[in-house]
Amino acid sequence: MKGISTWAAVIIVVIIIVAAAGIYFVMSSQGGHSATTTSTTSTSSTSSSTSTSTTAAPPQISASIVAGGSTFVNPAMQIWVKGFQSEYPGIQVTYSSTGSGAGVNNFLQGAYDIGATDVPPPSNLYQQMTQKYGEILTIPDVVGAVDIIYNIPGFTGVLNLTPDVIAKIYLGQIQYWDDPAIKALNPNFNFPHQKIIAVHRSDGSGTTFVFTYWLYISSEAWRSSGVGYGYTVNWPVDQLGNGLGGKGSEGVTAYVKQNPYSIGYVEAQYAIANNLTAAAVLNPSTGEFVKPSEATIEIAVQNANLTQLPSSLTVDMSKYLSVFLNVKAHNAYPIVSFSWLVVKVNYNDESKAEAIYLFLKYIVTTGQTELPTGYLPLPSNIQQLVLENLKLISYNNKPVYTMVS
Amino acid sequence: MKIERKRERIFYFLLVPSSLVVLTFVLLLGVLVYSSIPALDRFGLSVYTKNVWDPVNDQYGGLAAIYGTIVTGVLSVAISAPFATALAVFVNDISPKKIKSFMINLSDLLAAFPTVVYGFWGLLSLGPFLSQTLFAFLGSLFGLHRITNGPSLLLASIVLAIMITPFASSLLREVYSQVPKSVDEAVYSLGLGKWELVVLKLSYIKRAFLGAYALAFGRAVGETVAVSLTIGNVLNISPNLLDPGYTIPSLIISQFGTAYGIQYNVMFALALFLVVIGIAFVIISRLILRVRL
Amino acid sequence: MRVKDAVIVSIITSLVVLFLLPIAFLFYTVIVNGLKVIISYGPRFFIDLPPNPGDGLGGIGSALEGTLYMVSLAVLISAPISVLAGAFLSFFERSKVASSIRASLELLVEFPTIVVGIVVFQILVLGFGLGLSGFTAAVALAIVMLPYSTIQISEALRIPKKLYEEAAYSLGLTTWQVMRLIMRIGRRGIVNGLLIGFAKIIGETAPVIFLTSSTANLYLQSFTSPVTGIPVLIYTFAFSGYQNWNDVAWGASLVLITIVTVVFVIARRMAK
Repeated sequence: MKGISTWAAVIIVVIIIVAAAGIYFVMSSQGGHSATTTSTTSTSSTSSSTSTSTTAAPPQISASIVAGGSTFVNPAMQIWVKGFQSEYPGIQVTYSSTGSGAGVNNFLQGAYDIGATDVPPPSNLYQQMTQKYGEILTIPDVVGAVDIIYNIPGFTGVLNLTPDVIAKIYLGQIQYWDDPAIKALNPNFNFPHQKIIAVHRSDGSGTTFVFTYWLYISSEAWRSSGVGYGYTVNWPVDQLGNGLGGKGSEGVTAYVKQNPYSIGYVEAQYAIANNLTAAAVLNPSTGEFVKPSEATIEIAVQNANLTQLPSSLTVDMSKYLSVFLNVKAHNAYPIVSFSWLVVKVNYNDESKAEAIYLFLKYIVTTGQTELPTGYLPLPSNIQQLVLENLKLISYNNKPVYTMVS
Repeated sequence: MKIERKRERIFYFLLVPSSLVVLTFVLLLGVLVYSSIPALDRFGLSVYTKNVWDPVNDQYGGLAAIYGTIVTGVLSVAISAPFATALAVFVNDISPKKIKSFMINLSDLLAAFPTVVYGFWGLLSLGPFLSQTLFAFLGSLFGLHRITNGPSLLLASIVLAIMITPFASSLLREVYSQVPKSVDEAVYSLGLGKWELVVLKLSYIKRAFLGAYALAFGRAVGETVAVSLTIGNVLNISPNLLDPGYTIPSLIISQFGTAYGIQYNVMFALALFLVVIGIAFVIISRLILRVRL
Repeated sequence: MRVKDAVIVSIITSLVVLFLLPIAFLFYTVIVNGLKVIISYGPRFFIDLPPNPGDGLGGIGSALEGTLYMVSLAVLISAPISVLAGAFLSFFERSKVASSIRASLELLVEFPTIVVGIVVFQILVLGFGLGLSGFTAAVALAIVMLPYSTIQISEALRIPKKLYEEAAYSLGLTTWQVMRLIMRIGRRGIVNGLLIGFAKIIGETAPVIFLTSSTANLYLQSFTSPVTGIPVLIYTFAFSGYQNWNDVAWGASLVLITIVTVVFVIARRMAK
């Protein structure tokens, strides 16, 4: 009888090789707390060494961190992860850009070690998290802004928009570009009678949360509509057939780029990276129309009332969402926000606790110097605040920062 | 007797892995039902009959997704039918031998093709192309409003149609080739030609045609990735096919990651609905195909 | 008659050609765009990590590794079940149990793959706390592959069984020996069935999208680390506004369809 043909043998061999590779990885992987072949110094330290010089070589820790959430920080996160991993090759970090809602949700469910979200977890989620995990830390990792991008063929210059107009567009109350309200703000352009295609997020998004919250506090029309604010809302414009749901900021950007006469909201970084014009938005506190740029976002950050931030970031941070919105300063862009990372305070896995501490420390220090355009670093007093709070991270209630310098 | 007992032992031995198959199915279905119960408890059937998706106020109704699922399913089947049939007839009765095996292999390959590539291509290549041509034409013909270059129910249906045609045509091909050769002989001996032959054979397989398409419909409504890239992801119920919309699978892929609390269960309830449709159509197709001439 | 025949032949042929046009268009677009990217980046496309958004070209190394790992693991999990169940179905096809197994298979085949994904997520990630890993993704893929391969294998064994069963029994072989004989003869068909399942799940996105990492920023490190796959990478990158990510996605698409085509061709060769 015929034997297996050579082709089949090849395939089977390939499968076996790959499977063997997988098994090899299992055997050679340094899973974590047990003393392994290559780890040297601090992994299995039980003595709490006093904090020594900060110029010690990075400890050989092996751990894996699963992070995910906000698409907003994704571009920055990619850079942070690469930079961090080159310093600490034993620590493996993955980040899934699934949206802020998924970030907090999966953190709560235990699938993520770090949840990245554009808004601090809402109070009810915060309650559930503290119930399950004890203390949690909600720390800001970067500053960004929400741009209003648009695609109007033939339009040059900058589009002026107010919160009310934007609200009414997404409520479906303003349907055409040549609506008097828009023309009043932009008298120099002859708008065609074209329907406005309002692009929003199809996934649960922190950007949506910031955007809708800003609309809520800035626009009477939005407040009285009952739509509210959240990771996902019920967009009235959809029922009219003029809405589109893009997946991630990437999706929204792609839709606005592709479809003439559309409008959308994305993180500033996406607008800059894709050469999309962003609108000049009215800042209700100052009455000025401000274009988003590094400068105008910076002004908002510098002039915000940061004294209200608590010294301990383990509390429910959801009310600090509006710290950077509508800052009352000349030329301050109105829609600015932190993005946040949510982590547990106490761990029962030593290397994981250390790894998370190191990663967050990296983000708040070195990471702030390698941000892509459109992101702004945390103000220095905030950096200090975060670093202080990171010291709370502990393994079995013992702070780990002493063990890793 | 010894052989009998041995045979039995083998029977039971093999039964173990085989029953894993049944077990898997039952388990999947079980988890689906179990996870859907809280949602059905809270909302009852309105989770299927209302059109709202409001996590702020915790109100959910997937009617728009159901509408989109059915519309794209039916439309893609309708678009695909003539092509799949033509393929089946072509391969069996018209093409020369060399092309025949090439076509068979090609269509089977296409049936196994990664759907994400179809979706990607649909969004970035086919979509804009059709927008400028077919959609623009339809739009002005019927005075329909549309989003230029945009995703829509129709675009998703077309991409779906392209995707299920190879699968459907292989089913039809099977059935068509099983029409007895005596029919061929009879037709030719009467001095008739291809026209009568094809028409006659097609009428033979009418039943099987329905059965095959019941299966293809089930396949089409379960497709996720290609649809979510081309449909626009908006909860919109509209008779205008050039409007964007939603289907249950694309709703799941968009919102599942952020669903917590009762929304999580609603997703499972919608998934349950989808599976029930799929099962129903498999059963229908079996019934049809079983009772043959 | 002549005219009528010509008419029907032309209708059928033009429908076929009309169908082939978008397919050709698809192949053309993927091949041209993909080749452009791969050639301009070079052979390290298969090894290197993907680029940062907006930051030039990169490779798909980590995703490629992830896909191969997930898929091979899935095959390892489902192959034994497929083969044994397929054997059961072809040998004991008249038993009542067989028909319920066959029914389950047909139903599983039509199961929407995204639903498989969320159910596996519920069971393994939330229920057992296994987290995102190559293993959970492989399980989901194994479930998707299972019905395809099992059905193929049971069909493939049918012919050898018919041809040789009688003869083997009449030669005095026991049932067990007969079965082993027929399975050896049908070896090609079995491998063919597994290959078809393999080809099918390489391209699957929906079952694993919630079970994998979407940032393809690292290589495999352990059994339990999250992985990413090529289809997921294409889905993420394609839908982004970044031109360079779109480009990488085209390259990845080309790689993906090439792999699927090669496996398919091999499977076909063997089935002959």
